[in-house]
Amino acid sequence: MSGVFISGLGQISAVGQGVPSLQNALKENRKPSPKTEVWKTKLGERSVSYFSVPDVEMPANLPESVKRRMSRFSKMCFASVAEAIEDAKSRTGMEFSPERMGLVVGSAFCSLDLANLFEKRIQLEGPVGASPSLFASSVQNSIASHLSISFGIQGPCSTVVTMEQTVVGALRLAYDWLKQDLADCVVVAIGDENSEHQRYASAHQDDSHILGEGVVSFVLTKSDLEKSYAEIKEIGFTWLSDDQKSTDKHVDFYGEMVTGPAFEVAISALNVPVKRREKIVAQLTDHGEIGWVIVGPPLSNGDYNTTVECS
Amino acid sequence: MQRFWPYKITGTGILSRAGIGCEETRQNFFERKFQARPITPEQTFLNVEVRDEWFARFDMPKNTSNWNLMALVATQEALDQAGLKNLKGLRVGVSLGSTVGCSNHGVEFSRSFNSGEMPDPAPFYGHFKSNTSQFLARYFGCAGPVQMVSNACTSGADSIATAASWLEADLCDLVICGGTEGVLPQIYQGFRSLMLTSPTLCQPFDKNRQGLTLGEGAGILILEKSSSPRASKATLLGFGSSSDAFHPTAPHPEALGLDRAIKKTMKMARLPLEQIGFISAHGTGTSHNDLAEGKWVLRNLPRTEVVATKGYTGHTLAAAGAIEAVLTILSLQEQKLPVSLGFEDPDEEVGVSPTTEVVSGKYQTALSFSLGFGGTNSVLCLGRAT
Repeated sequence: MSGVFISGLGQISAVGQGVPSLQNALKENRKPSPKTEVWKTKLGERSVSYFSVPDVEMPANLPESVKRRMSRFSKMCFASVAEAIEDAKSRTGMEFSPERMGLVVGSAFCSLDLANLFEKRIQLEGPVGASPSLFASSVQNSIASHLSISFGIQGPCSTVVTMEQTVVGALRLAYDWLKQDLADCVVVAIGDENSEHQRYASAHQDDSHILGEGVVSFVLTKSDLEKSYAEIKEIGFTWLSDDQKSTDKHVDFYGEMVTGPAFEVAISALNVPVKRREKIVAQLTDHGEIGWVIVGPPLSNGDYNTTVECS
Repeated sequence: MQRFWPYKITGTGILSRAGIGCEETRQNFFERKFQARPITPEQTFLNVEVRDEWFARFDMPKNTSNWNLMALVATQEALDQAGLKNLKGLRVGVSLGSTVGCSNHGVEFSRSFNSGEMPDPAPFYGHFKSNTSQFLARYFGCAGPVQMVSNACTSGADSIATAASWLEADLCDLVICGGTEGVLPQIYQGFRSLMLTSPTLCQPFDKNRQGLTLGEGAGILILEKSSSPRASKATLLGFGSSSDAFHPTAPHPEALGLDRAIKKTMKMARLPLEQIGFISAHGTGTSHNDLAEGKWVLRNLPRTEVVATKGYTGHTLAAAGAIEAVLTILSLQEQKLPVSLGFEDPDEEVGVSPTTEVVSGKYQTALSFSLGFGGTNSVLCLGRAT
């Protein structure tokens, strides 16, 4: 049987680094504590609440010259991907040819703080302030580049930046590569860091949301593996009926993020063995477009409840 | 196996320094002695002059970004060519590549913020609404998948490949695909800091090449299944992509990643390499890119004609793969190859001499190469209309 399976998971967010941190936080209902920042605006002083990922633990054997070139967001992606790949290897025992491994990075903002730092130096110092290493590390696909070099991924590689449709788009791209035999395994890293610009802009809003940040990574394979977490049944861009539209259920754990639904997909995958249900994770844009992902038990499990539940 | 292969290209649209629209570009390539714009310290890239009439024609406010406007103009041209006056009832996808089209590019906002002022955050939120793929989808009322990728210089080609994947998955009936790019000052400064820019117009594969010349523009294709009732202008026979996994900014010196991408493309196209009529090279004019590409050509297709078009358009970054796909299609339609502007003296180490005059021939198929910052490689195999 063929399908697309979530065979490895990794995450980094305000609850900590690693999937066990997320699982324990959910189990104990232990929400992270937000930080608060005060911004001067034309509306007066406004405070913003946000989650912050703790310092990222990077492997000791990663050369300093490589670490230095990576943005904070790039390091978050690295940590998440490293865990997902290790998880997939230990769960499935499979090895993949580097040429048949693909990589998709999905992010609404990529390394925005680093890009701003690059621009700021030019603004303050003129053209001599343009740093080649900052520029190279701030372009949107530099994250994918660092990941492909670090993990030896030589197959198709893409960075999806489609705002609210990023999660669906990134997963769909990986799904199609697998279904159409363009890769045997695809690593998908989706997330964002909250940037200075974002926190400043958020200070002008009146709602009480907490800005989030984090990266969740999936190793997707097309083999019907006993040890996979879940199957991605379908991914679509079409309209769903009103009663199928979802709201974020676990946003208190990762914060408000354009790419937040990626965490919902991961949490659904973690819950599949327990709840044995399919789940639709859906996301609306401001203009009403919708994208959705259905996550369910892998094909090899026959006795599951086919009721579709929206979060 | 691909169910809907080969994919029909039923319309093309293009804006670049080489011309506004396919007809003007065709004339500049094959009928006129094209005058390339000189590069000076004051004019450091090949820009597209925005026309006031475009704002009126599409009822766009004057603060519409250049790259969104160019994408709109090119898309309308492509839809007109395809005879698609009304997209109602069709499942239409939008798959684009861009750097600026999906980045938070508010220069004035950044400047003000970095100076300690308190700017209006509206430009930051404007970023949410100005992603070019979503912008086009809303304008044309497209009810299908929407995607923007930012894979540096392979984005345009990658977007065309994604479009084919969507058709294969029957997610939509046709796809507006391609790329758009604008040149912001910080982008130029970034390339300059890496010592990749040339003080004069780029000279692809030339022994005196000094680097790339940035350019802006948009290239759009309408891609459909082989079963589409609309007339084909060209065909997409195959595509392939790979990652060098070698260096953040330089290509693999032996072009191993490019070789893998080409092999995948030819397998999908079901053609032997020797049947390729000509190659539309990436040909940026940088030392490393031209050397790597040249090595591949010399090893594998030493007698095949090579065209390098960035002397006309500049390096349009994320739009390059799409713009050059359109230029390749023009060559297939005309059965002619244009002059590779900027090339004069061959480099023995590179071993490739692209065209120095307009060449006529019998060209059924072509390969279009894109090599990207970060080590991505994307290849398209294009064929004449069937």
